[in-house]
Formats: sequence, structure tokens, C-alpha cells
Amino acid sequence: MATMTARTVPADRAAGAPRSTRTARTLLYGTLILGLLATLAPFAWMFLGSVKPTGEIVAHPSTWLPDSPTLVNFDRLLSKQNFGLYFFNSSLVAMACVMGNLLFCSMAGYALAKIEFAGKRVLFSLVLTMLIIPGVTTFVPLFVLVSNMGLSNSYLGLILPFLVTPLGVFLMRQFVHDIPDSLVEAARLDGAGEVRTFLSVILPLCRPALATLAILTFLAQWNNFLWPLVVAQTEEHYTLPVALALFSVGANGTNYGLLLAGAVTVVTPIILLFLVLQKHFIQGIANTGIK
Amino acid sequence: MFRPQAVRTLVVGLAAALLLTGCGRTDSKQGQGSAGAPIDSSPATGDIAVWAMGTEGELLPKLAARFEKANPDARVKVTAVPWQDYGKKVETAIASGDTPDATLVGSADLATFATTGGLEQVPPKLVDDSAFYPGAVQSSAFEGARYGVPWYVETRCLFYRKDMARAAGMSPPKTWDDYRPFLKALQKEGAKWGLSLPTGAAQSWQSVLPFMWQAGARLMNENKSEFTFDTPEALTGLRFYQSFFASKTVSPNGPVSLGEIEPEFVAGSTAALISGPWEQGLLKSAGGASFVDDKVGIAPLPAGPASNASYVGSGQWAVFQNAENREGAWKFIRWMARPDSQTAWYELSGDLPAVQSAWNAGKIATDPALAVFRSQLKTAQPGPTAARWKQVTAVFDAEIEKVAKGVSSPEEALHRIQAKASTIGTGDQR
Repeated sequence: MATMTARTVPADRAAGAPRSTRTARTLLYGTLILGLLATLAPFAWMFLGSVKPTGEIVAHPSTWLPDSPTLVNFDRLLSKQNFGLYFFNSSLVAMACVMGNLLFCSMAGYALAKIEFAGKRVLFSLVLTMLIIPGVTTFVPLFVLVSNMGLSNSYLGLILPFLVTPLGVFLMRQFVHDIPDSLVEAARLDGAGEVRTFLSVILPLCRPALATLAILTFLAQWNNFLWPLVVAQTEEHYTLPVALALFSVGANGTNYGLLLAGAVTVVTPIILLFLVLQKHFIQGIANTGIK
Repeated sequence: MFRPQAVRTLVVGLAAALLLTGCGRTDSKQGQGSAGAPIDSSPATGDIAVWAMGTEGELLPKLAARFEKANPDARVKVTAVPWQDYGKKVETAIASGDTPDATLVGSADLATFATTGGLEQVPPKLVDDSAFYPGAVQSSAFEGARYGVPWYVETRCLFYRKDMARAAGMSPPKTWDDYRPFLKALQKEGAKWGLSLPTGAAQSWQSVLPFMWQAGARLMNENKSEFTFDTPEALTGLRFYQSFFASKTVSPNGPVSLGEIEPEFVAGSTAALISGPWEQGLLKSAGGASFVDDKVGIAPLPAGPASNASYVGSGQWAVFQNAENREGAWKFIRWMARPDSQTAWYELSGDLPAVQSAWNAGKIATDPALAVFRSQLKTAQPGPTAARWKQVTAVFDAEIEKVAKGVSSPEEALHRIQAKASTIGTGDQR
């Protein structure tokens, strides 16, 4: 998708005559504004809904603004036992996976892109193959593996399987691949070893790709539900999505107030993270698109 | 970005992935859990690890504390598990052998779990079957053995707008003959739809099977080796279901998600619905306590030619084959099935007791709404307890949708359900 937009925008600009440019631009902005509204509306609904009493959330016809704003949903959510612990667990797991991915995926990506060794092509093919295999097929075997290692119901069991991902390796490999070989050669001529070349030359150049990888990994882990649900055998290892499902989704009905308050709590850190990394993130998309 | 080699790799990978997915086991080893030794009557000892879902999981420690008082050497460790995707968790645990001692199971999932061979049979003489509601015991039996002990039950009754019925001068219908006139009268009082029925969303079968039962249909043969949907009784039931749509009494676009129908019921655009005991809580949060008191009536389902049977769901306790403390787990389960523990649990959670005698004392004996559920429970039935029933429900729900939308006749639908159900089979391994 990123590739397409990056290519089509200059093409439009070149083809458009002055008069039709304005119409095109109006159309473009109109579409963008519509898209923006469509993207923001669910978020607005979530934030507004989290301060409504349940009766008002399900009311028919529905309203946007709360008639009688209340913090009762947040109050009930935060008064649940261990809520702080679940937040800590989620952060710990997500951060550890981000760190692991940044380090290992970039290392593997560097090796696959810049170092010549036997079996490199086969290895890279394997990475591509793994991209295609759907997670559900490996879910149960993965759990059996983790459980046989004695890691079920531990932080390690939550983190270890996601420390490196094929998508991350692929992303980093493609990015490092486009860094000019001359830079690597220059570093070698100056006497830098592989480690030094990797740490001082390659990594700093990869910042946009690393930011992209960081946010993708964080998002995937922060939202992960099924794996923590299955691996955590006691509540002290639950992450936020699991705890949230426990509190708000019943067998025969959903407590929407609690669910929305929980969603706000879960999504706010992601929005903050995105705002912080926004500059790098967008640059990352642009760079992958130019290739 | 991709060179030909990469494309080739992708193709090979895709093929490999397809191959792997195709290798899923459908007919590989299915088993039955073994029947363990009987359980003695000495106090329980040791740690007992149990899973309980949702609110039940959050509240169970309070009940377990009373058990620990009576069994000082035992400690119950409760893990509260979300209802969402809990089946995946149980199945994965069974596959890896990494299980707790016991778990709460929704009755509709019990057969699915039991086919994996991961659940132990209920030890002989652990509990007195006749103490429970018959429908709840029925749903714990699978291929000639019992895998669960009923804990709490729920069944579906008719919720209607009392105020609209009063204005129309109608009392709730007792039989199929009164059913439509009653709903039509409510529609005259301003409701767009007289009743809400599911029209193909997941679990629609739970609301449609009762029509067949009410007409006298039995959906499995005597020894439970085959499904029997192509009977005149089942057809009568399904025709009755269809007649609601033909007469524009029920919307052909029924509710798809939980919580969708309550606002319409509160607004009065839908005048009746069929739901379980939890509905009172949902209506209270959607319309307020005074709405429930003044405008909501609850009545038993109207009777068809054979009965007024409804669907019974239940929470059941099952012990894993790999339990480390099976003795302690079964003792805890036996204790929870005692009438006094059942009453205590009702007071803690509001879940309706599965043991009939637990209904004889306290608030539960006098509450008029609960009296309706109590009478409904006497005849309520579970869905067919077969290993592959879950697969059949997908077919059933899809065909029901065609009937509700008028695309297919009841005859055609039953014919197709029967054909596909025969192909799928019950999964009986005996």
C-alpha cells in the first residue's frame, strides 16, 4: 500500500494540467477528510462511551455526547483487583518483545543482506516461507513446546516465542539491503569488525525501519489475546486484554461500559507511543515505499 | 522489490502452508476418558487447582472458602478465566497435558472436550443424578458415560412488555394457538415487531430447536448414533417458526450480537423476546429498575402439540485426566453439588441451582420471576450431546437463516440439514 501511494502521487502531479489540478486537489482533500472522519469516529465513540452509563451506551437511537457523564466505568475497572499488575504485565511483555525484535531482527537482517555465507539463500527463503504460514497452525504445537520446556505460566513463556519474528527479519533485511555496500566496505577498510560495523554504521542508518518495527511489535504484543490467555495459568500473569475480557465479556452479555473504559485504558499508551515515534514511523513508510 | 527467486520462494511457501493446513486431524484418534476409582468420604486434602470463567471465576473463591473451612487440609486455587475463547484454552491445555485439576465447562462444549479424551468420567456414585434437573444431567452424558457434574442451570422463557399486554387486555399465551394473536395484539399497541427471534446468527439453534421439541421431535435416534431431523414433528416445529416471519410478527433480520435487542425492547419497538435469567440484569441496565418492575412480564414458553420444552444450558464441573489431585477435585465438586452449597452459591452469584431441592428455601423459593424459570426447567432439554454436534450447528444456523429470510422452505431446510448432518455424523466412536 505504501508503495502505491508513494508512486501515484508524483505521477498525478506530472500528468495534471493546471485547471484540473484544483479539482483533483479538492477531490483528494475531500476524500482524505472523509477517510479521516471514518477513522476517528470509532475512537470518538469509544472515548465518549467510556464516560456514559451502560443504559446510555446501548440506548436506541444512540447519541454522541453523554447526557450524564460519569466516571463509574473507570472506577469499577480500576477497583478490580490486580489491575495495576495486569498493566505492568502487558508493558513488560510488550517492551521485552520490542527490545528482542529490534536487536535480533536487525542482526539477522544485516547478516542476510550484507554477509556472504553458505546457505544464505535457503535461510532467507525459510524466513519468507514462515511469513506465509498462518499462526493458527502452529499455535497448539508452540504451546506444547513451551509447556514441555516448563515455561507455561511464566513471563518467559509469554515473551520467548515472540522475541524474533519473520516479518521483522524480512523488514530489516530489505532495509539493510538498500544501504550502499560502499558504506560497509569503508567501515571494513577503516578496520571495523562485523560487530562494530553493525553497531556503528548499520544500526544508526536503520532508525526509520527500527521505529516501524518497534511500533508494529509493540502493537502486536499489546493487543495479543489468545497466547497470554492460554499460557497464563494463574491470574498473576494475565495481560490487559485477557483481564479486560474476564471483566467485561460474560457468557450471555457484555458490560459495554466496562469494556469501553478498558479499551480507552488499553489504547491510550499506543496513541502516545505513536505520537512519540510518529516522525520516524512515517519516514520508515516513505523509505520502504521509494524502493 | 521482489526478484523472480523471491516469487518462486513465495509460491513454494504458499504450497507448503496449504499442505500443512490440509494436514489438520479430523479423523485421527479420538478417545474417551477413563473411569477412575470411586471417591471416599474422608475430607479433601492438598491443593486443588480449578478454572472458572467470568463472574463465576471472580466469585468462586468466596464459596471455596467455606469448603476449606470444612476441609482444613485442602486449599482451592481458583483461576478466573474469560469466557471469550475459553474453549481454545481448555483444548490447548488438554493437548499439552498441562492442565489444572478441574474446570467449569459450558454444557454446550462438554461433548467437544470429552471427545479429546482429556476429561475423566464422573466416578460411580459421586452424586445422586435424580437430585438435578433432568436436562442438566442429560447434557453431561456423552457416549454412554458422564463427564460433568451440573453446577448451575439456565433456561429460556418468554419476556414480554407487561404494560402493552395490559393495554391490549391480553394475558400471556399458554399454547401455540394463543401465541400469534397475543403478539399481534402487542403489535397493535405500537410495537413494530411482536417478538424477536434469532434468524441465523451463531447459536440460533438454541432458540429454534425448542419449537421442534414442542412439536414432539427427537433429534437423535434411541442409541444416539444418528441425527434425525427429517421427521414430521421437526417439520411442524420449523413451520411454526417460519410462520412468524410469513405473518410479519417477527423481524426477518433478527439480532446478530449480544445486547442488540434490549434497547428495542425498552423502546417498545419489539414487544417480546425469549431469553434466560440474565436478561433481567441486562434490561435493568438498559432501561432502569423501574422499567423491569413496571413493564416486564415473564411467562413460560407457550406449549406446542407435545410440550412447552425450552433449551437448558448449564455450567458443569469436569476433572481433567491429567489432574494431580483428582480425589480433592471430585470432593470439591461433590461438595458444590450439595443443596446447601447450591443455595449459598445462588446467594453469592445469582446463578440458578442445578439441584432441585436447593430451590425450596429462602428468596429463591418465593420470587415470582424465578418460579417461572423453575417450572420451565422441569421440561427443558439440552441440544444433542454428540461429538460433532458443534459442526452440525453451523449447518443448522445457516439453513435457519434461509428459512427466516424466506429463501428456503422448512421442508427443503430440514432435508438439507439432515443430509449434511448424516455426512458429518455424530462422531460416536463406540
